[in-house]
Amino acid sequence: MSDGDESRDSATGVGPDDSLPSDSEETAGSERQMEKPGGPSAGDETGQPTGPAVDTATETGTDPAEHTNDAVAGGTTDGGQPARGSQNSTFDSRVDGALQAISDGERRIDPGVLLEYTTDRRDLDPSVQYQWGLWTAIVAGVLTAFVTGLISAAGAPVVLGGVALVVLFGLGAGWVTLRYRRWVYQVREDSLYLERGVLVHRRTHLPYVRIQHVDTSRGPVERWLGLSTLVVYTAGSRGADVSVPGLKPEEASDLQGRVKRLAIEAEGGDAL
Amino acid sequence: MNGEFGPDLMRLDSRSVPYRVAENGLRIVGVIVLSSLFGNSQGLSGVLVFVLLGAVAVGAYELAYVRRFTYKITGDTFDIQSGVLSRREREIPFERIQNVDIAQNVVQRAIGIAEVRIETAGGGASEAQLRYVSRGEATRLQELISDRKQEGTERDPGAADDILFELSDRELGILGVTSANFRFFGAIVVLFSLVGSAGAQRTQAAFPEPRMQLLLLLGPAVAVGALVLLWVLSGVQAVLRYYGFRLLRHDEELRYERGLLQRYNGTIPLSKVQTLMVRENVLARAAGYASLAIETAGYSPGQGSDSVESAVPIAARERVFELCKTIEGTDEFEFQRPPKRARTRYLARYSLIVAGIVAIAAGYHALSGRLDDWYLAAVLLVLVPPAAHLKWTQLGYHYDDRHIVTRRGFWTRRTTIVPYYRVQTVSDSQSVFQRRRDLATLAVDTASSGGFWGGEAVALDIDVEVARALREEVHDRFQSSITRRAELLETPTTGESVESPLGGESPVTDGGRRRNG
Repeated sequence: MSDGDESRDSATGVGPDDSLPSDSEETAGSERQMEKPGGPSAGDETGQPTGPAVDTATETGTDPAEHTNDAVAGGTTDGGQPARGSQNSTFDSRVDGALQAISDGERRIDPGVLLEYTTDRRDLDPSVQYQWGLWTAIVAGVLTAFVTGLISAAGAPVVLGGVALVVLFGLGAGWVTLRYRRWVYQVREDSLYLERGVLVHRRTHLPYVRIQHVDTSRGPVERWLGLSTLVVYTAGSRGADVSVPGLKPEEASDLQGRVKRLAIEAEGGDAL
Repeated sequence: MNGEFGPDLMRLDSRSVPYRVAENGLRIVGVIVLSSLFGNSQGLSGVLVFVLLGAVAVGAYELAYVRRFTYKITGDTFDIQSGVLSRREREIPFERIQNVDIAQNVVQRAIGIAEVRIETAGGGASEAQLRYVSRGEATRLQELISDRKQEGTERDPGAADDILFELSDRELGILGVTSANFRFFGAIVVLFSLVGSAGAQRTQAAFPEPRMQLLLLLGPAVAVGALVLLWVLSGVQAVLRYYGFRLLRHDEELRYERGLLQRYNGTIPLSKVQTLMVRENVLARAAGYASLAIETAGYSPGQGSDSVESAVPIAARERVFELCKTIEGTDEFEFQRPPKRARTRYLARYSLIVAGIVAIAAGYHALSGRLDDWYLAAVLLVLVPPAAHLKWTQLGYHYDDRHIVTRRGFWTRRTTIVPYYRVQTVSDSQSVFQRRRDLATLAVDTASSGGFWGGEAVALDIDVEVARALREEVHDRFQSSITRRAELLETPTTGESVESPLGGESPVTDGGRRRNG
């Protein structure tokens, strides 16, 4: 049992946050206030709730109080999204550390940029579960048909195919849910941090210095569901492209902007 | 090589026309002959006509190719215009060039021409292939490119070639003996013994004659023979490939040459070295020898392994680590092993494999009625504990203030040395089975392109807390090393060429380069 799971179980929700502003400038502005270490605890209230009614779950863990006191879990979220702040209660301290490193000359990023562009740990949009669910359902359907064929060929009652159907779709649903719940991304001060994986839990640092280019892409299903994927490319030998699926389009372009800016800021030669 | 090179257009050597015609013509003629043999041939004259037409077409094409291929050297790029029907113009900035290789096979040596390949980090194939130029021109290009790459740094004009390593006859012999692929060997042994035992079951029932008993011996004998043949062949191949291997240090650049029939000659700029990998297979390890691969980002993974081998094929282990010290400034490694509970994973894994083998044998028995002694396969379980232990003993990781080093593999032990400033991504992962034992795997990816095993340093099955701490540690050290590099590179120039003036920043990034700086 990883501590990630424990934190998920123990932490409950976070108060109803602001909805995601449609304008990335506004987002950046509100983020700046949110992430200012030791800033006013009501900082995120300034976020303009002008955007479309976005699921508040996408913005969990942005309350500054979250970082200092996980036990105080006020309110509920409609998505039932637990905040992952507890595992990352070090967020403020890490920002502090990064600021310290800047003043010590160990990091050369502009502190303003740092505060403006970094984010707290974020979940994917819940509707990404439909996207994955669609593919999983197709696979499960094909497998069910195959298994049912085998069953009828073996002379067993075809009703057993129904059992296979239930089992396979149950597994698929569990996998989709777990996959969604595991996915966390965070724009840190010097790297994009990702957590993902159901059977294999994977946590990756993708330093901005290493980024070659950043894409957003929208497949047909994603367009239908109103989702978008961010793809970040490095020169690495394997897993050279890392994608963050399940983002609202405005979220994706906001994230792209942040990553792009931080990558430019990081100035690391030809990233090899 | 410090003359003035104007923007003159250069051409391929005219001797490459007949060679190219012969090379491609043979291929095409072969195809024609084969197709006419298999198809309904229109008689010998028809074939001849086709062959002649083909030869003329090939000759015309090759002549046009060579005549239309021009290259020139400008202030900071290497420009190539090529193509008969569709033209291509390519400019390669000198500072982005990773490797320059020269290859010459026997025929090319006799004619006096050579192939020059220029690699950069992008793309799927060699960025420039000059087929072919004269031997002298090839060397001149190599020199010139390394000169241009280092413009901007103060360069010692009298820098002599410093021989880092030369393969002795004795080492060549050891190379021949130890260059066997043991994974493959194991597979063959298992295959033949399975076939042999299955055959034994079958023939014993049917033909109890002595002649058949003799035939039964044939299976293992063929297996042994195949093993020996493979061993000899791979040995001969290795000797041919690495005959006369020399590794030189020429200023801020490594150069190597090797090969008996096909002669290779390549450059590896020290500033482009991504990772170092030390390989020791079982035999070499027992004899105290190892090989070293110096990996850059230049070659794409799909490329033939022939050109990728810019490595010291074999040397005493101390010698190899000494070379690592020279190239990358490594210190002594003190490997940390994964916790002992990691062994239970391999125990479980290998037991499952044996169980699978037993199940297959049982299934075979149930279906065919043969192989009465199928349960004897369970004897393999005896091998499981030592195998698990042996796998575990070869695992390890080490890190100091400049590198992270990981080690794995029993049949071929691979030690990957990654300087922090070459890290691309850092991640740790935990599979279901690892979670049960609180283990995790740390993977440090780089941009090096050293084939299937290269590029990534993997610390397998270390404690989960250690893995996470190490992930943060490697990432932090990477960030500070990058920052220091950027600072050092920015002060002398304006930061426009970050990669090239490496001579100036050596005090921080590594010790090995300090000597010439």
